[in-house]
Amino acid sequence: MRRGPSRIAWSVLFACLAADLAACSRPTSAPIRVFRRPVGVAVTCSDTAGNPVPVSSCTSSSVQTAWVLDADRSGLGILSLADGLHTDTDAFLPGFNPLATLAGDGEVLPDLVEVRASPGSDAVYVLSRRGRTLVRVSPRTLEQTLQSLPCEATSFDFAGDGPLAPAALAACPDPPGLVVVPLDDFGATQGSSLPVIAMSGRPLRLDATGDGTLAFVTHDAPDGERLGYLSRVDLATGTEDRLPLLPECSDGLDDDGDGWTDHEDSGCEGPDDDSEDPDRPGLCEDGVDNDADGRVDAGDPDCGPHGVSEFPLVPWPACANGRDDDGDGLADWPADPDCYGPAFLDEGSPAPRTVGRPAVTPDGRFVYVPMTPPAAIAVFEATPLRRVDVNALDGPSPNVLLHRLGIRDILLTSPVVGLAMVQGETGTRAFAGLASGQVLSIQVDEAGEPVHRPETEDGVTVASSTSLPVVRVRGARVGTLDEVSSEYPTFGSNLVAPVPGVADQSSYYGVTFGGRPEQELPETWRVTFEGVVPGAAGETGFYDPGAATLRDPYRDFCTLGVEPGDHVVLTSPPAVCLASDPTPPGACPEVAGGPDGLPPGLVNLCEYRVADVGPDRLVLEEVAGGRGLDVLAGLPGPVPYEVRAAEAWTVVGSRSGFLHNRVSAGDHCEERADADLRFTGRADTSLPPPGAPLPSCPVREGASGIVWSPFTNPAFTFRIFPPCRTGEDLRAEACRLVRDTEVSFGVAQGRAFRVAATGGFPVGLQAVGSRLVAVDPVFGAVHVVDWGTMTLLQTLY
Amino acid sequence: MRAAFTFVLAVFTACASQPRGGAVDPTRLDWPIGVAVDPAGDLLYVVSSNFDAGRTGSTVLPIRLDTLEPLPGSAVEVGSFAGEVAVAAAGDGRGAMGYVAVRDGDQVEFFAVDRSGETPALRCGDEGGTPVPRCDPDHRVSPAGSPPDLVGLDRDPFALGLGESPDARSRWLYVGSILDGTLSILPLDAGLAPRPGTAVLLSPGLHSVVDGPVVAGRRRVYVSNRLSNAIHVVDVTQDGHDVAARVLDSLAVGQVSATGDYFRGLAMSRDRRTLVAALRSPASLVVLDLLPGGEVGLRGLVPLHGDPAGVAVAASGAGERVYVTDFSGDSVYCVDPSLLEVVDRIPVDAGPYGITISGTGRAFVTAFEDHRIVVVDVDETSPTWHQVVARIPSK
Repeated sequence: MRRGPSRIAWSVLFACLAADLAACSRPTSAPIRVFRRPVGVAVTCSDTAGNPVPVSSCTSSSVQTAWVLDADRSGLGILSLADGLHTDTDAFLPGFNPLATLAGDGEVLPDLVEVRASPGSDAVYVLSRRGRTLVRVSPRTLEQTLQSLPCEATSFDFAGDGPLAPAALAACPDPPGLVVVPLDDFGATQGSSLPVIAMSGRPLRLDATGDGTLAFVTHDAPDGERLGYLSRVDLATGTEDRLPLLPECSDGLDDDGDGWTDHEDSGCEGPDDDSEDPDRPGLCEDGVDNDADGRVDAGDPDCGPHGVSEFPLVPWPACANGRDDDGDGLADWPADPDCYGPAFLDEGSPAPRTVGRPAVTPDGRFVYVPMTPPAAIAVFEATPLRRVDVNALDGPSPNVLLHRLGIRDILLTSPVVGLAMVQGETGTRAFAGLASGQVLSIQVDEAGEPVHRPETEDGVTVASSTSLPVVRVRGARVGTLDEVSSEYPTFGSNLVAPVPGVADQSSYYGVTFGGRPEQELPETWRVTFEGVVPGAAGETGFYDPGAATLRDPYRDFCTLGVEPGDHVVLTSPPAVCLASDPTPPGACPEVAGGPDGLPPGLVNLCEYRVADVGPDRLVLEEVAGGRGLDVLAGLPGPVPYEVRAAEAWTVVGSRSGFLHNRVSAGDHCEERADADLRFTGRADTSLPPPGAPLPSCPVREGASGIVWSPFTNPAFTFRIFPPCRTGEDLRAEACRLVRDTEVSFGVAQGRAFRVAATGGFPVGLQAVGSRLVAVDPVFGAVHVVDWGTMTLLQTLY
Repeated sequence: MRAAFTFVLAVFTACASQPRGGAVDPTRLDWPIGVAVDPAGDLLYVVSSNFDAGRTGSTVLPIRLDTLEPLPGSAVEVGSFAGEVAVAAAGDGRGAMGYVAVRDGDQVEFFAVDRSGETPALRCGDEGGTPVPRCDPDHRVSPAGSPPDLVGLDRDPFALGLGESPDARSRWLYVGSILDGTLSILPLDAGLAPRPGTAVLLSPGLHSVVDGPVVAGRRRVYVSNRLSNAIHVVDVTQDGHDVAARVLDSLAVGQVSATGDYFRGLAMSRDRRTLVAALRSPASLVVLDLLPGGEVGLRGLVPLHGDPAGVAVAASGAGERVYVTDFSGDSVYCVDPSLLEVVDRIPVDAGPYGITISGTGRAFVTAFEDHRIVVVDVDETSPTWHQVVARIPSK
């Protein structure tokens, strides 16, 4: 006979059920992921009785509620920041259910893109882009009110106490404008009847000043368009002022007022050109015999029907060849906006762009606009509207290197994914959420004085350092400095070692930093023997035998830094240029293969010394042992060439580039007015005096018998030790320096920035009292950071 | 003792001769992973990976794109644990030769697309003994250049891509290995068959490879790595029959949170100026600007959910859109690489991994765990935009 469960078993079962039900009836703060892909957060505050408290008055004793915009779940998660408890808006469905924002027909509104709390904490607003709706949610009752919009708005903000108050502003890309949504009468007006402040461009993101008098708007830049400017809209008058975010020739504006914009303007030489002025006549309309063939402009048959160039260009440039070379559906100039004139070589040219929304300081004085690439924040003064050159020598944060590189913005290590402003007791701070998973503190001003500089940790010293340098010869990796033999050049050390006589300073494999980390960039440096001067190479070298001059209409050799004494080398040399390699067998170092592009055993003798440099021309002379200029004269058509340093090293940074002090002035080159000897991209090998033997192999640090030639730029110093080996007679023997021997190393900047590490992506940064709140779409988290100490207080899921 | 030895020997012998699983069934998709659209746009090629070794091998199944009708009679069998697939076009623009990376056997197997009959068929010989033609040894090639100290070990080729020489006269097949981390560059002969080429050692974990722009006369190639924070950069040139490759500095993304699981799919914009990569550390789409001169700028990272896997680029009226599969989230994200934001999320079937997009605005996604292809409408002008419009096989 079978027996049923005992009374004890029934009791246990009942107890379990009771416990389960009890657990179900309570919210939980268990750290399980509730948000799927949160992309924004708004915070409301209330007192313990549930009465709204303005966000500006919110303290840690207030009840703070985070309204988390979950894009994947198309709703608002509601989270108490005090205890991490979630609100389940549908007890019938398992799990925590976000508050669904519903359209009038009961369908879930799609494409939720932004959430903001009203300054008084009495409402939360959610923008549905494709749903063309702004939704107001009551924090107390969760009641929703819908306001239709006349467009697919991409961003919104409140008009503060300004002339339009109480109102929200929504940015519409098409038709361009700011829609004014009255908050008193929210939801009562048809979207098509809402007032609109007409604008130019394609408004994308906006932020209004706290007093509601001005709105700052960035613009969408879909492929093929350049709308690189910031608009300031006076909300009282509707007047729009615009200021470039990008170089003048990429900003979408007619900066010189000649009726032509960017690539259409003959004053623009390319997207990086920061001036649309002066307008220059083309090579086929300037009245000059540019190619020295005795024929001028239209009289030169090489100009062709479209007047591209007097130079006989074969093949025709990508912007005049009748083809859609970059596959964007547009062929040639002026149809393709990537073409800056018919003779422009390249239809593709990525430009920086804005990313994320601008942020206005609480006092309305400055506007920060995130940019990429490179990752940076452009700074504007609100009134009068002007771009702040942060790094100018007379600017708020002078930096000789960044100023020389033309960087006007706050340079960052990673792109911005969120930005918030805070008014502190001593000044204004901006907090940038970075794609590196950090929140960075930026000092905007101090006691009213502009600073615009990332903050560093007081009392924390981080040494600048380099990676272990790597040696390559003709592109082939030989090894790191600690692996290669003395037959390859070095910086004199394969160790990190203290610098003798200097406290707290080390030499990294022979590289010593100058102690000004703000003048260093995290980048890779390449030190190359007889390297190509960056940019000084092309397919369109036209040789004029009468003047012994090589001209290239596409280059500015002065601006590139070419100097007399450099060598022009023909690339893809014809057979007449080739000769047997005279290097004897067994010469050191051993190098596999021949010079770049040549079979082993051959050398290229079509190499000429630069005697003089002009903006688009190089006066050449023959070098001993090389082919004569008559060979060059005998070559048909344009010749491919490159310009190399001679018996010297090029020093090129991946971000700093090739530093030098040359500029073009009319038809000649000259020194920059602010020339500085530290801006150099050329290094010499430290060698014995001519004819003298090497004192030892390897050469010892500071050895006599060597003419030491230190290289110094704004960031670091090194010396290049000569390659050598010990001969059979035990004497030191110099090895040859092989062209395209490269020593490369990475630099890690020695700055301890004031950051809070959240991991993931801290997006949707909001300042609430002494805290910053951000959400992380990847890990589904809400982070709370104390911005005073930059510590991560809590992470809620 | 002798009996025991005999028993053990018998067991091992049985194991050695026991084929893996049952015969392949070309009417079904077993753990589909690689997928490619024919250059002519008329066929889809789907690789069933045989991930659970439940069959004797993997299959390549062609599917007609006009009717979405699978052609099981035209399928071929290749080795198990097949990965990515690519199809090269003949002079008439139609796919003529396909290639599959096969991890089991460390080979690339290739098949011709025979269009002489009423129904297109894949041909790669037939070893015999299987109901579906098994590609014969003449249609297999070993990736070249494994380092000598790794010879004999597994390579696990997975990444596969097609490229061309800077002068567009020669075509290449790129093969990247997971285990030994070598990238092989195999020139294609006039008949589009791969022939021995060259290889470079990158690092273990190679997942995807794409052909980039020409920089200083060399073809720049990018290779993603799933085991390290690296997109490898390789320059390739060809002089006559000789192919030469040079390894440049790899790209990395600075992030404070790392899971040890890094890059997956790679794709290139049409103008070869933008490179996009699926990253899992943390889950995101990495957007890189390829600047003139070969420099690379990090435009940004677009946060995603789950485990980003395959990547494909589609043209749209507002510029290009990038589609990224989320393997653990059973969805496909549409990303605007210009604005660096997610445009939409499209729920699909379980385990979406590979993705390819046809010229007619259809995305084909391999639902690895649901054993089917999900077809998503990505035509912005269509009323069914971003909806699943078909499944193969249908539910």
